[in-house]
Amino acid sequence: MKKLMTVFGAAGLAMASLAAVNDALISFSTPGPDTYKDGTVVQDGECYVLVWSADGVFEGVKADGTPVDAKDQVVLVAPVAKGGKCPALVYEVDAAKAKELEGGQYGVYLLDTRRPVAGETKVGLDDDGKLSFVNSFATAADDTVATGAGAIASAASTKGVDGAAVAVYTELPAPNVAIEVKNATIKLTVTGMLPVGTYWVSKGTDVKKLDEKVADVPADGLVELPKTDGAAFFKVTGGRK
Amino acid sequence: MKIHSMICAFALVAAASAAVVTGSNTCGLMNVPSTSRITMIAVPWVNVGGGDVEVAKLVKTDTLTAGDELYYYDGSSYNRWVLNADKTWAPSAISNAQGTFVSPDAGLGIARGQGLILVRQSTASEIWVYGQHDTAAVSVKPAAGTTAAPAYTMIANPNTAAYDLNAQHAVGAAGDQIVFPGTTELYTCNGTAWTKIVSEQKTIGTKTITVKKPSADGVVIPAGRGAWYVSKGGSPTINW
Repeated sequence: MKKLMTVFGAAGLAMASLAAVNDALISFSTPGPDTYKDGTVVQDGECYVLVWSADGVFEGVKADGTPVDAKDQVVLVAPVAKGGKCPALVYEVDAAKAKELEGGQYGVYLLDTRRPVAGETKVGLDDDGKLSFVNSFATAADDTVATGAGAIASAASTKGVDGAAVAVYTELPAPNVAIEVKNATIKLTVTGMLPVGTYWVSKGTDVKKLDEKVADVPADGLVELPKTDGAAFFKVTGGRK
Repeated sequence: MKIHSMICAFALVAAASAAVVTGSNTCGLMNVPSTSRITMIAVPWVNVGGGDVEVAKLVKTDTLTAGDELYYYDGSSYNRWVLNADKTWAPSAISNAQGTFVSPDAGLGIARGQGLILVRQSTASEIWVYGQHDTAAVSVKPAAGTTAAPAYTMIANPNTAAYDLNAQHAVGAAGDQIVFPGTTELYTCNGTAWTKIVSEQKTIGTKTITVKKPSADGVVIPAGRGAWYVSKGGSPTINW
């Protein structure tokens, strides 16, 4: 199965206002035109699925839409295809879920949910709003398996969409810094950092002008600096990686 | 979990400028130069995380000598700490010819703008104080005394810049005085400004005498330093 490729970009700042601190905003879209495995352009209302994998290899979904590999996750099923592509979507994930998904990789897949209903081809979720019909599911070893009554003959599998872009935005809380001075060394301890952020220490002799970057903050938050000759102020600033 | 459909044409994958978050606090470090064995130092910082700074955590100790002492006058008693061999401050009561000094609570905190008295065995050892910067305004209003019964208030400059009492219009009553512990510097207020009393040698005939007279020098409290305000009637508010 195709290894997940994710393109991370910085989401527009306006989206930050939608989420609480530490919630994550995940945005995704596809450039189109997207096709089923049989080459047919995706129908309006078809489902895109935002998936997550700890090891970056998504094994596919089963006929009921659940992941083949229990370690993978189907984060969202969105029946939103329009004009042959997935429009731009923003999805808010609460802080607890965002933390659970840290370190993994996201991908966008196209599901083939085409099925005949009263002589017409229907796509998307069922009448209860659930994903209950997927034309096929695939595993790492077997790329194409046709299943289920009513499956469309093309037996399309879940398909990773080339060019799909997923961006994750997490608001950073303000970090804190503590100071201790021993011998000729200033020891700063920074707390309140997130793995998605990068942090640095700025220094100045005027508290209103702390514009000299003096050190990056490592993951353990401990920064050692040489003692200054006079008064000095230290502040920590952070930004998303 | 909510999903928001973006109707407008948002360039979601365009790299916007990274959001920057500024730390919630600023920490600071300040040297307090002094050539005196007895130095009144200011409390310029608060505790990291907020609140009154603990005395035991304010003054950097590895530049000092075991046996050095800290005193804090709380209005009725002098609280005393002694620097241990392991370079930690320990509460320590004592009674001697200078008076009775009580043992404070180990975690005693002192507000920014207050003062401490540091007694060093070596005037060569550096004085450093550190903690968290606080933007709240602090002020002190010395107690009002009389000529017959002067009132003594510790005033200490918590800023990183010197404070000129004349320039800041913190002028007391005529006769008020300011004394820096451990020095012979004496400042007197004439009712409209502070002046420094200086000594001058005068020769009258064959005799040379020393006279004291006011000079144009006003009172400037150095950064991190303190002094005694001796009130004989005045009680100006000093807005640090």
